[in-house]
Amino acid sequence: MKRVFLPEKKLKQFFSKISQEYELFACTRSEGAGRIVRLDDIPEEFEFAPVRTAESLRLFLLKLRQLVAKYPSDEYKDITPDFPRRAVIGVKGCDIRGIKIFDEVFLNDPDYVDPFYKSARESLFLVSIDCTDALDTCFCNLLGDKPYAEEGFDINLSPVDGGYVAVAGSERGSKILSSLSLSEAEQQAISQMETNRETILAKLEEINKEFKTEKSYRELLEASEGADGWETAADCVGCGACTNVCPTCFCFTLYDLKGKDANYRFSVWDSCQYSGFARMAGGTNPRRSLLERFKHRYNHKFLHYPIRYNGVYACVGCGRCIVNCLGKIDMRQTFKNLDEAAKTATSKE
Amino acid sequence: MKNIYYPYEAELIKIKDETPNIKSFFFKLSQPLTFREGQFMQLSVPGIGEAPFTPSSKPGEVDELVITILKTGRVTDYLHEKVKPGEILGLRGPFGHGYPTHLFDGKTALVIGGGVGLAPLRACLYGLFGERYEKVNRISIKYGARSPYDLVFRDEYEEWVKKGKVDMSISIDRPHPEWEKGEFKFEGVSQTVGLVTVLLDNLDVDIENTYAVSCGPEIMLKFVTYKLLDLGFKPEQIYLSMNRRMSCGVGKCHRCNIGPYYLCKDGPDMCYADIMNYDPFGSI
Repeated sequence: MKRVFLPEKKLKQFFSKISQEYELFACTRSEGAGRIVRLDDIPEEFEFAPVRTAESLRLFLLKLRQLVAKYPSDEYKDITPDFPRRAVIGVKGCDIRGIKIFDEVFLNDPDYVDPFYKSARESLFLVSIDCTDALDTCFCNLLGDKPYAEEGFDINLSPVDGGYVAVAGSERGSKILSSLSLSEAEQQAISQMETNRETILAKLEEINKEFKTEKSYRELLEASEGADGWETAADCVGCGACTNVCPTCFCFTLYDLKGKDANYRFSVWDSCQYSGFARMAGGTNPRRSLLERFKHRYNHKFLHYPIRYNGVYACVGCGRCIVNCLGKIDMRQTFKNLDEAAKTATSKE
Repeated sequence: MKNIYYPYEAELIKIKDETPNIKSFFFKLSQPLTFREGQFMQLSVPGIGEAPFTPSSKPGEVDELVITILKTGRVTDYLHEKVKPGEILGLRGPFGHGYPTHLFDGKTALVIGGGVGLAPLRACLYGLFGERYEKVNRISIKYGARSPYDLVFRDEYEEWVKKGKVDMSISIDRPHPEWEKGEFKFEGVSQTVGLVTVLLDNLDVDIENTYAVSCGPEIMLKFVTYKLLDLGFKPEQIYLSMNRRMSCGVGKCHRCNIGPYYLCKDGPDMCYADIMNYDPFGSI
């Protein structure tokens, strides 16, 4: 992989190059988490968020409400949805990994590809940037992930003195970089990049040391029976905030409306935390209790999804669910409790 | 690109009353389709909504389709009360795998249905009555419904058992005067009273050489499964039609999963051995 140096003073040119083809969004510093802002004008300089943004990228890929069919109508039988071409600059590694979770379901399914997702995905240009700090809810390290992206981006930036070490991850990213006539990154910049990565990883280790579990999350769920270790569920109110802010949650429901001239079918975000999510006509519900729905979310992310899709967790450790939980439930604490429960069970045997 | 959410037009040509709350809807398709027994369709009532149903008619390449539906929710209420022959409804599918009928070659097919659950199983039976019939050893049908009036496809049982390899027994949940008086008498069919599991008492099949398929309310599937396990069936010999709530039908919306399985893509007919470790009946 060719590493080039993007000096701070060329950032404007970098933005404007991308803006020739894409509507520009960037992750800016804010109190606590960063924010994704739309850049209508190219800024003279820009301060990237050191940590993940409050918003995930889900909104860029799966609309809250998407018209999926107007029927009867020939134009919706075969469809090439026209999504706006957008670029998000300054995305963190966790959110880049989150997109992979969606891809497996909507794009890489050999039987059925979702045309709306495919179009949104192909229209999205992603520039990732290494974390230069960590929130106390960040826990990618507990999942074996890193505070920077290694793949899945069009371009990755690593902040160093005076600019960024830049790497292209796709042909279209490579084209942008080569159009800027950048010189190769010097060894000193690369060392600085590596030092920063190690520093942030060490910080994450420190933040999360009290949450370390002996067994992996998947093993803990495989062994889990009944309510042992699930004490945190008592604080859940079933609001579904965790699933709405999650960068890997993708559940939706289809609903139909009668219009004047045709019928409309929409897909809208849904949540497995809602009591009606799996309830059947007639009222039968396979997950009637809040505890079952609470466990379902963990099981899906750390057990069912990995079994179905190549062992990958459907969680990236961004910690948004922790920050946004009305009951202040910390996923790390749930697993810590499960770990303790598992130890107690073993010692009893 | 093909729009996986678009419902294709299907003309409703006939509605037949099966029971007071179950009707069969006959469709003429705008283009022929091939479905396997047990595969399901997403049926749309335009502008109202969509729900998954397994056809009850003969599988294979067809240009007509029958779907037998219990009135039990928003979409089905609409189908029962408002929809008239001649109207154009929408269909997506077929989806899923369907019944593993190849397993029945040289074996006994134990077919256990409850209420409207006999509808998908009828497609399975029609499949078995076709080319496969030569290879199957025996087809044993156990069917339960709430009352004699809730039995679906009543005019076909006698025809089925006349085939030779087929035997059938029926139970109704509670005693019923007309049942006792023999006003619902089916020639060659054994009839009793009790939940469908009573038909599995004193089961006279060679269990080792039998595969069971069952369709009905999930509470019934749960107890049928436990009964079969009690009798010595292995989890591998039990197939359940887990026709749960589905929305997309194509493994995207993540509503119908049991563990890592999507009922829409991997089912709806699941081998109990596959799902047994994933709390298959939940709070049912």
